[in-house]
Amino acid sequence: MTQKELIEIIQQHFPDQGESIIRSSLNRALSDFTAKTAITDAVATDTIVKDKRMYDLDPGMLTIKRVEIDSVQIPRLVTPPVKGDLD
Amino acid sequence: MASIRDIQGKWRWFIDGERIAIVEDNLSATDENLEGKYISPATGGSTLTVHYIALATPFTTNLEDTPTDVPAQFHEALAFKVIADLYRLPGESMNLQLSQYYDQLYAEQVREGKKYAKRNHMRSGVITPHTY
Repeated sequence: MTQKELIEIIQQHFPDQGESIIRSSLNRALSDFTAKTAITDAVATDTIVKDKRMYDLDPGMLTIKRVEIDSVQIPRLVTPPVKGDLD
Repeated sequence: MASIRDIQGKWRWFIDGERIAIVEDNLSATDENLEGKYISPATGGSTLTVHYIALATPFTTNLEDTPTDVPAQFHEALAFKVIADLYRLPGESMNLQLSQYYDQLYAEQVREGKKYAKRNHMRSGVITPHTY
């Protein structure tokens, strides 16, 4: 279903509502639906750099399902290491 | 090339704010030297892959956009949510009964969406043989 079709369905109930208001409402609904259902899978890749501990995450990321190094799943540390490293 | 067991024994991950941290298990660290147990990667070049749940890409001003991150059978749910929200707004069109009705339709779609998202979910388990 296209955005236009969705807007038309909504305008059957609210003929005075403009497209841009409906679009921002649709975007909120889209975020709400994907957050509640966890329906959108995604994959991000990066290359490990020597002495670099921290790697930026996608701001649109909700939950991490699995982390792999060279396609092998690795375990999560429950508590961060005693010795920190800002890089 | 490192074996699966080597990789799983060597690498660990954790979340630190908006970043993911990758550390190596320093197998030579002793109990007295806990601070050196997990260290930053001593070697580079390995591929890091993160599988995650993401927010959908928002609609742009292009009216022909389709919410491709959401399966087609759930597209109408977005309209249900917007209609429910708009009926809740104060004003002439406010109608809490209709708002509740569309909220219910939306909640039903969310339930179906959750089921759909878990359709490939597998539980690990071991069947233990017994002799009688």
